[in-house]
Amino acid sequence: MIARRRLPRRLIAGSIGLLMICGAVILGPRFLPPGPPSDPAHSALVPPGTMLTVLELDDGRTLASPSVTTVGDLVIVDGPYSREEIPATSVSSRRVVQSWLGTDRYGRDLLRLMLLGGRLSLMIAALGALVSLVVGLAVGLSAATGGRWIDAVLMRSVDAMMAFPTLLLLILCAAVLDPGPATLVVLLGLTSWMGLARLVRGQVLSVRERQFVMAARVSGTPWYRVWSWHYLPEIRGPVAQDVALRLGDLVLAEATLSYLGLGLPPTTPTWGLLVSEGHRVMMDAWWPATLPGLAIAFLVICFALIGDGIQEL
Amino acid sequence: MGTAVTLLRRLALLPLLVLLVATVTFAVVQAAPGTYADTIDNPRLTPAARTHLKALYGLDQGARSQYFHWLGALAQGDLGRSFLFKQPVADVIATALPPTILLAGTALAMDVILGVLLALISARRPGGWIDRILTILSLGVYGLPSFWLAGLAILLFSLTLGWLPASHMASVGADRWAAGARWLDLVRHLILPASILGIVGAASTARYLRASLLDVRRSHHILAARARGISESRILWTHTLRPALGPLVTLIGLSLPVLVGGSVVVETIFSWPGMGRIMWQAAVARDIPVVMGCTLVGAVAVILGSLVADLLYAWADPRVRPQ
Amino acid sequence: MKTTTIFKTGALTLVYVGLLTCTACIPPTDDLSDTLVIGVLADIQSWNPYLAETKFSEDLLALIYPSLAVEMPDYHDHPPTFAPALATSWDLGGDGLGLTFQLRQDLIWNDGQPVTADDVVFTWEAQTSEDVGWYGAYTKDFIDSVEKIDDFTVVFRFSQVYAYRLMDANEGLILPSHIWGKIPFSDWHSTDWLPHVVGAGPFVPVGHVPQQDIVLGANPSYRLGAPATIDRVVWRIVPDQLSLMTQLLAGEFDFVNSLAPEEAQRVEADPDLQVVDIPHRGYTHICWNTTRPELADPRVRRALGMAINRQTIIDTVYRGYARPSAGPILSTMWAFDNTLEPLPYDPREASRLLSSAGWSDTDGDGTLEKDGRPMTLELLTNAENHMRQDICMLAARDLRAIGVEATPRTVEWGTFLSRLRDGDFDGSVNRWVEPTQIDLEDVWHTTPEAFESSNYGRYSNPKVDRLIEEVADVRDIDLQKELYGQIQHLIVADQPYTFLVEGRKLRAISTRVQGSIQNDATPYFNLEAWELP
Repeated sequence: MIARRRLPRRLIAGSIGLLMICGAVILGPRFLPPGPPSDPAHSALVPPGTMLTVLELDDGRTLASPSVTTVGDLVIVDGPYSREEIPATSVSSRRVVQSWLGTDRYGRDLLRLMLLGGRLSLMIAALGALVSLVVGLAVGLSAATGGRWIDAVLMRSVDAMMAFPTLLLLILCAAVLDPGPATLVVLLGLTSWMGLARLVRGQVLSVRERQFVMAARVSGTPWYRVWSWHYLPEIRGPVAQDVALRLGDLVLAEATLSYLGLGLPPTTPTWGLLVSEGHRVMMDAWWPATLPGLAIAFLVICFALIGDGIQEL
Repeated sequence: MGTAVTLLRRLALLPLLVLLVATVTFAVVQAAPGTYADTIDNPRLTPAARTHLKALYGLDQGARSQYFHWLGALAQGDLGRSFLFKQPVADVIATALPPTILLAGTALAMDVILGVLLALISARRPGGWIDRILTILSLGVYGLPSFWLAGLAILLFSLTLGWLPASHMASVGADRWAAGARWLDLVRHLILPASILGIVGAASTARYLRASLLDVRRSHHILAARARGISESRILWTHTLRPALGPLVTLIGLSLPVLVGGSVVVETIFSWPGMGRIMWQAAVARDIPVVMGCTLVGAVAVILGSLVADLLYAWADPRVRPQ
Repeated sequence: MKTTTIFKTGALTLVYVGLLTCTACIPPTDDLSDTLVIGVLADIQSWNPYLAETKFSEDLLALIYPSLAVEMPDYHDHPPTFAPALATSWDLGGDGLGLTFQLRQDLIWNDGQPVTADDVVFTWEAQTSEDVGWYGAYTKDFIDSVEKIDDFTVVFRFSQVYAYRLMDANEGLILPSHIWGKIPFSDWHSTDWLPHVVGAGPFVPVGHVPQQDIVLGANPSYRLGAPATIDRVVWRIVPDQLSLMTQLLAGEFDFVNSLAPEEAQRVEADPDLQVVDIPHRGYTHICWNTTRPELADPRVRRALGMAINRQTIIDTVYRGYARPSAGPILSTMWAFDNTLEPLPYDPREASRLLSSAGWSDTDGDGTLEKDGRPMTLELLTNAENHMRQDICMLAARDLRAIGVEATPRTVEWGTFLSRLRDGDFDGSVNRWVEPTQIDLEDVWHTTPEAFESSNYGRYSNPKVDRLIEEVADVRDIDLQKELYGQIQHLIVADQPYTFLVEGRKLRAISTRVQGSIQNDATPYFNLEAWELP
């Protein structure tokens, strides 16, 4: 028995962070009180922490605004872009909600958007990394163990893949295929596996020259045993670290695509899309770009810490 | 000698790989909806005029005939004429390449200098508070979308503080200045974009380097050196840093393509007239000759870069022989 | 020992940061009092007006090359008139087929050569050359020949009599034949044109760094008016809107042609800048695909239009810089019918119309159905245009409120256009920028299958077709106006589009600039008369 070592601190910290994000994103929307409806006329770009008055009118409309005053028989709803006067009799209900993180330029509650969008961001990154992991592992392992020719062909195709202008490929594929989460996952995955393949091949090549592996191969141990006993444990650490970093990179890549206008439509705001939308109003309001940006940074930090921790294991 | 043969073989493969990449790219551009003539956003362009433009640029031909036409011209060293920039593609690339090399080169230098510095400081006392703060800080910078960082930098340093220019390679009227002033002006314009690219790169360089520094420090020859009573700083500079630089050099080899490919986001935000922007504009406008030209340049750079990286990796880690 | 290393590295960092700050704090030394700086989003495409395809290139080149006459921005009261420029007078002759221009005799190119009838004839040859492939060549379709009578008289021979003969003859800038004539048309696409540029306009090029700046200088031999008062005009190319705005507010630009509405508010607050606010010759609309079974019924299209709150769009997307649009002819045009009213915002009436058309929520899921088919629509627009994207979002929200399952969809520009042309959309948010001459045929006339036109929604009304054909032959303006009125009423009754808004053209100009006249013809209408005191 090998003495059990203490888990690396970075791994613990990173995992706690990631669990917090996952928990918030999965459970959060359920416990969140219904946010203000999205009418930019009255509630766009409300700063974090503002109390919003939500009015339901008897013609079916719902208005929300940080400033609602009653003057005689009139309710005056003031907003950043317009002002509306409504007879008090047509207001059927009135409640006050707090917008914890403020609203975006469509008047949508940023906290709610970030919780909903985080789910999508995480999912795209996770599935994209999975695609890239599967392809990278398959190519890397086959190249390292498949013999001279297979190695040459596979590694040259890695070179060729790397030589493709990734961004160009993404633009044009986004134009050819229908833009949606699934397309994004496949595209991001298929354009990011090459580093992993190189890494895996390098690791396996350096392991296979070691004596115990040589011995196993020469003594006729079946190939799947050699792989599962010798290769996989050896490459586990570096691969896990690479994947952890890749997850962060994919969240960022998705953000860049959104900035260039190639991401998902604005109805499904991932964190990346929120930052790029917020980037446009950066001169008017700091929160719509900064808060999702910090969320992305936090996520990347968590992934990286986990990666570091795994390497120290 | 084995290495030389491998090198030659891979160099011989280069044209084949580049051609493969070019062919697939051509197919993808062709598959994308719309042609150059369709993307012109001028209200006065009538449908009939569009049809005429398509004929003029040969866009009404089949994809295969366009491809062979392009290939034939390429065989004679002709990259074709840009639809969008109304110039030979070679001229378009020749204009855009130097600014990109300047920007990416400066950024790479910043990346390496800053990265090594950060890694050295971090690795002095791994797990110490300096290390922890630096790790989180550099990860935070790395994790922020670069267009957000760039926007913030412009708002802060250009609009609010007024220290640095927000865009371009030269100030208005700089063409009338003396050479020294012009040079200084260029440096001022380079600072913001190069820093954004460089700092983000440094964050990841520092991480890689820190990890390999720690690896090396744990190894026997450092313990031996320490036992021999060699000074701590000498151990750091000669015994630790040099072996740890191996992977770093590989990393630099792999970032060679960025030197010629540029960065769309940073070049656009800072109005830098480089390859990234040209390629982006060309892709959106379906300017096939420019897209193909940029792809060729990029592909050659990537394949050479990867060759260099392999050689350096083999040199750094003798267990892996280049096959 | 450890502390010394930290000290060393710290010192290195300090030196580095110090170096950066030192270079950063050197103030710009140049005096820009004689230079006008303009911020633009894209570069000039070519210095040859017949190779460039962008509006910006045309606007810029019009400062360098002369034209026969200048169109006046007076289309509000009648079809646009022309003021003399290179031509002092023109005459349509007895049969209306020969248009004779008398040219000024004192104009010279800035290399000293006179501008003559040879230049006009050569220009027409270039315009119609297949090798050049000018996109505007269709304007010369009815011109059989251009003949030089003497050095300063030239006649255009038309193959038929029609309303826009002068406009078509005048279309395009006049080229220097004594230099450009030496370059065969087949070589034009591979020529670097900047060294060959000579101008007879108020400005001539001084320098061009691609994707960076364009510099024009005053042309001392300009004879059409007083020479330009500003010596140098620099166009700075800034492709990122946020960056453009930052530099405008930092005082680096004297003029910016394209302001977003939210930026206009910011510019208004700046004491050194002024907002130019003029009507824009364009209208934003949702084009409905009338071949979709859900959208074939005019009642449904009317209901969709009435469900969309234009005022919210004007308030939030345009920040008030827009007005509701009523129909296919701009309200600023002479032919606009004043009796047309924009569709009101009335979601209840919209629901009533939909139920009268057979749409109702039978299964109680909040979405309307007819014959078991739910009313689902996709609102398509291009991702590059944030305002249209915002309109899509708001319109979709309003439509969902009356039970229409509308989803905004943004795609990249090339994809957007090809989907429009293929009819692969339900509704698309788009904008038409209208020419000063009224042309309804391209957008509203029934389109035969496989014929390219801008009638993306495949709208077809035989009455409208007949009227459009009829009005083309009418010479009398009052009768034209009457016919255009009928067409507008027919189209509005059919609601093939939801006419949303007519926006405003917003520009920023520095308060140090004097004497500029702003209209929608070109942003640089009288640039030669601008002054920097």
